[in-house]
This record gives sequence, C-alpha cells and structure tokens, in this order.
Amino acid sequence: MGWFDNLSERSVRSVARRSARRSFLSRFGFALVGATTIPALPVARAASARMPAPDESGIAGDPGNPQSCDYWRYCSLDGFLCACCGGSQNSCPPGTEPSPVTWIGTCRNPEDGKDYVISYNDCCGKGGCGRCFCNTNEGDTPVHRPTLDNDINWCLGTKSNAYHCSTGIVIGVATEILR
Amino acid sequence: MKYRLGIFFALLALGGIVAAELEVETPRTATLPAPNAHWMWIGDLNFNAMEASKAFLVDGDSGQMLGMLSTGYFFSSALHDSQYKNIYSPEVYLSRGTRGERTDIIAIYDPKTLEPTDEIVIPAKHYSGIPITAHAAISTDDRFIAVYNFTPAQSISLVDVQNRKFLHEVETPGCAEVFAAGARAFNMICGDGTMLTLKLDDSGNTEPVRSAKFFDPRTDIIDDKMARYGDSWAFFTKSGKLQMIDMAGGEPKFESPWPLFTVDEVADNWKLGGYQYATICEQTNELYVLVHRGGEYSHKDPGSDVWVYDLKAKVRTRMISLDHAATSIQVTTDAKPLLFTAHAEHSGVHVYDALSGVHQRTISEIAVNPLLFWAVHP
Repeated sequence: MGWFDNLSERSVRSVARRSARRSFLSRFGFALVGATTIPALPVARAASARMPAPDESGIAGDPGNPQSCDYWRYCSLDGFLCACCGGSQNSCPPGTEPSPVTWIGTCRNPEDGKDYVISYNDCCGKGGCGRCFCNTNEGDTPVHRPTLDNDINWCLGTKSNAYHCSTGIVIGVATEILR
Repeated sequence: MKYRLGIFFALLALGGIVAAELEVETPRTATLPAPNAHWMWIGDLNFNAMEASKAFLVDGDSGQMLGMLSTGYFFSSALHDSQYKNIYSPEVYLSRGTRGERTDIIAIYDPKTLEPTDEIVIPAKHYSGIPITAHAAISTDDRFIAVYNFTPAQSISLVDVQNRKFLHEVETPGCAEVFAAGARAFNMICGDGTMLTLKLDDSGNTEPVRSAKFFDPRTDIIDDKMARYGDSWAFFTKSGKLQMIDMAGGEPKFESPWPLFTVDEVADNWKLGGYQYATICEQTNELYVLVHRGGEYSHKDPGSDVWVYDLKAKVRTRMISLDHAATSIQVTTDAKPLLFTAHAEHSGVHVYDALSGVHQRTISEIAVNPLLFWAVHP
C-alpha cells in the first residue's frame, strides 16, 4: 500500500486508538495494572538482556511495533520509518547522522495514558530509504510555524542535508498539548 | 518469353522498393514551438531519490509530454519572467549526490530549448521540504527574485535578475514563504499572525515592515497553500475561510474573510486538503479548491471533489466530482480553461475541461511523485 491508502487506514486506527481503547483502559486500567505487574518483571529483565527485535520497542511500558505507522510515537510523523531501514524508533540506520534540530509532536502512550513530547529527528546523509512511509500529521502546522511542521526537511546542521528516514524519540512528558 | 517477363517484373518490383526506401537520418534535438495557455509544468519530488528531482512540461490539449528539466535535490517549482523568455529554477546540488559540498543555484533555462543558459549561485540555505508554492518569487517587473531560506534561521536571498547576480540576504526571523507584491516588493507570512513587507529600491535594499496581526495561529491558522489572483493572493484558514490579500501596493490590504463551507458542510467534515489544493482562473474570476471529507488532521488527504467559486459574488457555482482523487490541482489562465490534477503518490496527470468538469484525458507516466503545478503564461 502507498502513502495515501495507508493514511486513511492509519487515521481510522488512530481514532480507534485514541478513543475506544483509551476509554476501555480508563475503565479497566487499575485492574489491569495490578494483574500484570508481577508477571511483567521477568519479561522486562529478559528484554534488557538482548537486543530487541526491530518490530518491538524493547522498552517496558512502550507498547507497539516501531516498524508500523500505528506505533503511538509516530502520531505526527511524515516520512520513512528508520526502524524499517536498519535503525530503530530512536536510532539512525548505519552510516546516517541524526539531525540536531527537529520538529516535535505530542503523542499519547496507550500504556500509561500520558502525553509525551516526541522529537522526530531525521537521519541524514543517504538517499530516501523508501520503506514504511508514514504520514500521520497530528498537530502538524504550516511552514510558518516550523517547530511543529513535519513537511520541512530537518536534515539541517548535519554533514549532509540528504534525508534518509525519521525517528520518534521521547523527550519528556507533555505539560500541555503543543499546537 | 515468360522468363524475360519475369525478370522485367522482378526488376520493376525492385525498383519500386528502392524508390520507397527511407532517407538516411541524422540525430537532432527538438525545440519547442511558441507556448500556449494550455501548457503546464509539474514538479516531480521523486521522494525515494530526491537528489534526482525533475520538472515535466505537458500539453493539455494534445496530451503529449513536451520536455523535462533535471532540477537537483528536493525541488519545489520554477519561476519564469512575465514574457516567458527565461525559466528561473531554484535548485540544490550536493557534490556527491547525497553528500559532499552543497551548492544552491538559480538555474536559468531557455523555454524554447530547455537548455541551461546560465546560473546564479545563491547562499546554500534554500528551504527544502515537501514542495510549497511560496519557496521563491519573482517581482512583477522581472527585476528581483527572492528565495526563502530555512537553516532553521529564516531569511531570504535577494537576486538581481537583470544583472544575474546574488545581491544580499535579508534576515526575516519568525517569517516564512515569499510572495510577489507588486512591482518592487515581497511579502512573507509570520508565525505570530502578521505579514512582513520588503519593499525594494533599485539596489534591492529594504527595511522590512510588519503588518498588524491578521490571523490567530492558535485558533484558525492560515495555511501554507495559496493561490495567486493578479496582484492579490488567496489564503485559506484551517477552518476553510478564504482570506484575500491585495498586495498591489506592496503592503498587504486584508479583505474580509469569507467561508467556503456552509455550517452543514463543516458538520459533514468537508475540508480543504492536499499539497496544492487551490487555484484561480483570472479570466473567469473563479476559484477552484480540492475538497474531501476527513478528520481534524486530514489536511494532506487527497481530494475527491473540486468546488468552484465566483470570486466576485463570493458564492459557489459548480461542484466537480473528480474521476481520479488528487492532491494537487491547477487551472489554466485562459477563457476556456483546463483543470489539471495529480496525486502525489501516482505517476501521471489528468486533464479536465474546467468549465464542464468533464475528464478529457490522462497523461500517463509523468513524474514519480507529481507535487506542484505551475502554469505557463505566454
């Protein structure tokens, strides 16, 4: 599937993720926390002892598949997913350089229900990866509001301005939704 | 006797074949005839290999591709002077394709031959990203070009077209995009809801002036998609209001905004969307916008329909249901306009009779990712 076919599916899934499931979690969350805490600990230890597979986050409390546009961190992304290009949700593929300046978005983690500020550092220095194009755009603003604009090539301040792919890096809990 | 007749007819046939033999050819290069109003340029972002961006020229009447430009890295669109004597194409090059030294130029092409005839080196700061119409502008007297820079410091590079040289950079903190504003001025949109005016003297010197605030970026932000209407520009707010700005005198004159959608249509989630969703035919004074039904963040979704508005009466006059969903549209500027459409994900462009809305033809295999149109004004 291509950009825009994916987009409608993603929009639907995004709505589902942010509404029905959230209400479900809000209703049953407390019970689930108690029920899952103890069994989760060995799993967390096992995850830290090996490199995570590319299709899992490898981080406790960070659900989803970093190779999928549905992954919660990608709510305001527009580009190729580095996790599909030899990198991960928070690392650039070999031979590419993360941009020091980025656009940011605010995405809700379905696991803890908190809004996090996500920095979408582009990885730079090679041609476009061409895999896992993702175009979600929550909170995306026009070019004259650049800090929230995902249309800009953010390969700036890097050795090369060539765009390869985008990451989604947690930089903190949001105190307000940035718009 | 039979034998002699046979030889006679065989020789006759051979003679016929010799007479029909094709002439020997030598390779040559085509040149373009005089342009007409139904020619259209379309930029190719070529997203998987942006170092090889392109621009294609097509004829909407014949459905033929006429030629192409190779336009470097992350190309948006080209400009041309008022008589279509020169094409000015802001282009970015990296010396090793995707790495190495960066050089930004305004490449100059001959519109008849499509050959590069000259270039002007400008600071290596030109905005790169998903193409926007207002990444560069030429003054209406053809004297200056302004190129929008983003490093992320914001500025414009001013170019003297007449002497084909870069003049200087003007810092424009907080302001982006650039629009021709009459003979000797450019305007920019600022993130705080104001507009910045740069009036130029003959040397390109300017003292930028800020307007009053004309939109609220937190409640109903002006978008970075717009359509030119003579010396005015039509802008659009996120909620679907049209904000016409008269720039004939340089400084912006803000007209009263008016809604493109009824209350029912807003409730029905009709929205503007795409990468180039608005275009105006000056001959018919009609605005064409690409619309779809979608959610809050569907502003890049393809449009299913084109709605047409009479700009004088400020009313919708026609609704065109597209045969092919589109993310970009452009109408030609003549009295019998064609409407071109493209979808950024699909190669090829579609041509409609803009007045009847009837699909005329598809010009296939044009661009990998067709993004921005710009019309030829002969």
